[in-house]
Amino acid sequence: MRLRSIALEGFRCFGPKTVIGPLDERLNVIHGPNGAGKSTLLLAVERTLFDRPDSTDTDIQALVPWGADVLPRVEIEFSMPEGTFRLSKAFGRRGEARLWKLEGDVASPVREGATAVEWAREILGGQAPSRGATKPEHRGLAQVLFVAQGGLDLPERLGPGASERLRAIVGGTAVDPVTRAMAAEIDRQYLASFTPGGKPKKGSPAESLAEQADRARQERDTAKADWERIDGLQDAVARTADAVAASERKRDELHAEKQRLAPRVRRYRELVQQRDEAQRAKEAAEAAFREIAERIDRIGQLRRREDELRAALRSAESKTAQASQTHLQARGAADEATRRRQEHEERERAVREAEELAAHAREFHDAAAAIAELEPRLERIAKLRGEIGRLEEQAAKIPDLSGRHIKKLRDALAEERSAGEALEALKLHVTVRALRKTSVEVDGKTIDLEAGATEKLDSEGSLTLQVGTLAELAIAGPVTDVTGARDRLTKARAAVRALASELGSDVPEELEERRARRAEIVKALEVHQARLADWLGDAETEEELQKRLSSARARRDGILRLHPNWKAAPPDPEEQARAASASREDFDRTARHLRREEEAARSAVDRAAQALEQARAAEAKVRSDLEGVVGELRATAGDGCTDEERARKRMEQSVALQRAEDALRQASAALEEFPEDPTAEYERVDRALQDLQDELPATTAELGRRQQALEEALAAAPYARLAACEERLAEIERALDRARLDADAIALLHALFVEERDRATALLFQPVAERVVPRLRRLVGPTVSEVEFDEQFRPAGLRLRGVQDRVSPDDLSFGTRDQLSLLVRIALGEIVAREGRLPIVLDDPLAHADASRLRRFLGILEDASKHLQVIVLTCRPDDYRGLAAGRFLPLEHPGEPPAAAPGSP
Amino acid sequence: MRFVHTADWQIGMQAAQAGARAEEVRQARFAAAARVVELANERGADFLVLAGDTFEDGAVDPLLVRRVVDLLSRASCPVFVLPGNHDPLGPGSVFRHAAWREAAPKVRVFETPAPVEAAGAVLLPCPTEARTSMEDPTARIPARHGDARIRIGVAHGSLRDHGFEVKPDDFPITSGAPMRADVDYLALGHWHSTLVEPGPDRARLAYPGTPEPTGFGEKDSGHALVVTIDGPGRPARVEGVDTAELTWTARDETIARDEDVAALRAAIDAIPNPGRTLLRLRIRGVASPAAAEALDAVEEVAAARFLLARVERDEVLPQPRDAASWTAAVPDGVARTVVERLLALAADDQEPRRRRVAARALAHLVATARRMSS
Repeated sequence: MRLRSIALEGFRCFGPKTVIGPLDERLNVIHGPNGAGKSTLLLAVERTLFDRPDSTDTDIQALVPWGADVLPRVEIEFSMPEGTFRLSKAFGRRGEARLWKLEGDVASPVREGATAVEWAREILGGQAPSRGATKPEHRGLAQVLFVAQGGLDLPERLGPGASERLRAIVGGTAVDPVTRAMAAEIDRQYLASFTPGGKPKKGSPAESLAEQADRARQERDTAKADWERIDGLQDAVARTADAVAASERKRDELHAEKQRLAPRVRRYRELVQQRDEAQRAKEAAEAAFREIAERIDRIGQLRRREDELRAALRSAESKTAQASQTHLQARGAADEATRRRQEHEERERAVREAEELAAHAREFHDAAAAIAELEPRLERIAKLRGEIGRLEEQAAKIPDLSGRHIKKLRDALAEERSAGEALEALKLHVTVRALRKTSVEVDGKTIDLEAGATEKLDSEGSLTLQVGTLAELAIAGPVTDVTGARDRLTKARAAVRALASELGSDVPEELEERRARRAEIVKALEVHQARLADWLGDAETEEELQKRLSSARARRDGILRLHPNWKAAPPDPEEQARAASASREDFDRTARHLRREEEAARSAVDRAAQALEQARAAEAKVRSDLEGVVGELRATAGDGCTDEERARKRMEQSVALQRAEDALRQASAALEEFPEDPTAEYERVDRALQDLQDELPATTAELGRRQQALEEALAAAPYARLAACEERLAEIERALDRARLDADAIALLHALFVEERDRATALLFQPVAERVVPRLRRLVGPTVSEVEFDEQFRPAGLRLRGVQDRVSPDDLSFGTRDQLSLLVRIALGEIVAREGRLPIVLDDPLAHADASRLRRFLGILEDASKHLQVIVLTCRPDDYRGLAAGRFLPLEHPGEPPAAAPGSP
Repeated sequence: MRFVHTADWQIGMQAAQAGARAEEVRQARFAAAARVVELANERGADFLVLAGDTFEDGAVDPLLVRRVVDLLSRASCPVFVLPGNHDPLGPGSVFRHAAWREAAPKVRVFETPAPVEAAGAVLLPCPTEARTSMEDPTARIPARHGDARIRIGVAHGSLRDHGFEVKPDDFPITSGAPMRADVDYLALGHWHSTLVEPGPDRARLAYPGTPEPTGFGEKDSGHALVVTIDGPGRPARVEGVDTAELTWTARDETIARDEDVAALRAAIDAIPNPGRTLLRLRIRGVASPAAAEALDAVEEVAAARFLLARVERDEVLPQPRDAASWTAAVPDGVARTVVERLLALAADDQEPRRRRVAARALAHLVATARRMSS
């Protein structure tokens, strides 16, 4: 099918009849501004090809032009292999459809009404809607080939007319309906058990059973633990029962032992009591005897001590008096030593004066020496400075010439000479010797010549001589460049003058001489400067030397004011220094000696004071001890007894002690029949028995508790519960095994179906991909390696070189995705058009393409137009000017733009 | 003198293999036990002796203990009960239940090895006090010491030299125990299959086996023994009597051809009393689509008829020779390729479970295809 022209009349925004055409069989660009009716044109073609004209559907009724009461009419002329046809439809309740066959200018009606509608609909595989107007899915291949603005994406589901036709042409069926239904059922079952990502799905039979199994396992484990606990409880009961029995046996044994030990303990205690009483009596007797004996001894001791202390006190008092005397003597000696030292120190002033005099002598001597040295030096320096100034003046008068300057002058003089010679060589030289007195007129100037006189004449180029009236001579030389030679000479002279002005002379030899003279002056200057530096010595400048001289003079004058006689007889500084030094040494030596003496005297005072202190302390100590002994003696002997009475009392106490010791010995001998105290054993047995009796009720109660716990645990029939849990778990696990096998089987089926379906789909879409991929590479670059499709021919993904994962079309830019969809539509159109050219109508398809892509896409459209009749509707025709061929058709129609919105009266 | 020898009632035993029928299986154990008591009554037994494991565990429901004691009390003769390794003596033992004291002295538990006189004979019990023991329980039987009465030993354990592997702590008993203990008859319990040695006409020891089978694959169980000893020194004659309430049938079948499935179907049809039978059918081999369909029918029939039917056919793989018939079941194209791949997986995959999964997937696919085309 190839569209030849489209005529619209009263169709929406189209008023009077508008004809678009004739259309080129390959490339057409129908252009017009926004609102010109491009989308309406596409709608008109679709409605005309697929819809009943007399449908009462609101979509059809809406085709009536706004504000007009006419039937919208569309006529399409197109070529088919069978011939050329005109299909005319007028839409509305009284709508009609007619089909003519065109042969030359003759149009013969061939069909009308429903048959015309059906015939036209068949061309692109359209199908009649069950009721009302057609929807996109009813319009067969137009779903692929007629692209409204912004609708480049292929529909999610192609209508049967399009998909069957495409599949039939592209290469058969990838998946038949039964298989598709099976796959859908398997998908459904798969998704009941797995997530789309392939993970087990919560709530699926296998997962539910797995959860039940987990729960049942936990219940079983709990029940088993309860059941196993019975063993522990039984063991605990058995152990506790054994412990109770053992405790009871032990209790009986201890009780018998206690009975056996009781009388021995009683006898032992009686004996111990007797012994203890004897012991106490013995201790009392001992104490009484000891008290009287010790008192007697102590009185004797104190009396002896009192005598000793009184003697010691006398000795101490004597030592104290002696130490006091020594101390007084030492203090006197120390004061004397101090006085002598102070007296000597007063003599130091004379020593200091001698030292000051020596210093003045030294300073005076040094200042005089400095003055004597600096004065002649400064005079020499002043003279040298004058010489240097003179030489510098001379040097300043002579320019500092270099050999290069002189050579330059020599060269200029040579050039001047050479230019002069060249000029002379070009001139005419005439020598006139008068043989007799005559006059010669040379170029109007008269020269009188005496006879024999000679006149040399020069001229440039020509010379006219008139010798009196005798002859007129015209002399001419060869034609030469005298002017050039003269210019050269002038330049050379100017150069010489300039150099002479700069150098001060135009005689090289003179300049050489000046240069030599200047060199000598410079050399002399250098010698003087060196000498000056030498004379300055360590001083930076002469001023510094002058300052030194002034300073020396000031010092000398200052000292002379103190010692006027030194002017006439200067002192000997060395002698003065020696005298001062000897005086100082003598003074210091004596001062050191006196200080040592003083320190020794002071030490002796300190020692004497210390000795005095010690003597006093010793005396006080003896006095204190004596007082203590006297006090104690008074207290000890204050019992109201005499020494004799005390001696008698001691004898009586000795007898009482002897008696008590005998009684104790007897009691101890009776106790020896017991190897050890039976009480400890008795108490140990008693404590053990008591402990056992204390513990036994608790152990017995523990046994009761454990028995009760066991009985309670048994009453819960844990084995019965465990059995029920095990049975339930086994049943669930069996069901789970089955469910997992089923789920794995479904997963396997699903995976195999997906793989095989993908493989079949890839084969099916190969021809489409073969067209799309190279063009897409042309558009976006060579990285695209593969394009994958879903069953509806929609691009499902791209494979890019170097990228492992498939790229979804959703991840592409808006423009690229549009262009990919457009390429797929073109490819599908080309494949279907193998059976005959087909139109592809694109409403502003490249709105999102950049200039570069647009240019490349035009090439693709040109390529596609080999098989397809490409009709582009656009408001930007300039975008398509780059097409090598193509017909540009302005969309102009005499209809006025609508005055009112649709539905307005 | 005549008595009934029984053991291993295992009352309260779990029945995990029986699935939803577990409770019925447990109840069947009571029915079998009641048959044993009736047998003693019918045969006019002088006493009934239970040689251990009356209960499956010491922690069974106390109500079960009461029911068992009530059942034993219905015996018209004295009843002697030996604790076994499943219900040993000790703290919390089932034999501490008050019902035993109430039923005494008619029903008596052997709590000690002390000899007990019954019907002129002397019973020499070897009660069990633990779940395991490495000692021969019959070693506790005292010597005869000139006693001329019939001596009947009652013990619970395993014959360690009878051709079966016996754990060393499973109460090992030597075959010579009757001679060593000098007993006329050693009434044993523990093994669930009936065993009479050396023979029923002159038995010296016997296991009656459990009166009710406990699971699939258990051989020669479901009996009680009637023992007759005419006098001291006379041989013991033993008669085995069926007591089982349910039948546990386990069949392992291999199919290779469609005819094998038909034969299997016939065999299943021939099993008597299916309503009281638990059936486990393990099928392996290869099947054509037709055989697989026939197996579906077998499974359905078994489920409908038997008290419990467990048909395990995961090991049935598609018949590789019948690839064409499998592929014919689905439309040409993708589905057929999938069938071919599944057949290859089921036949060649190294992993047995993957083979089973492939077979299951194939069966599923074919069933789906059938549904879709119908």
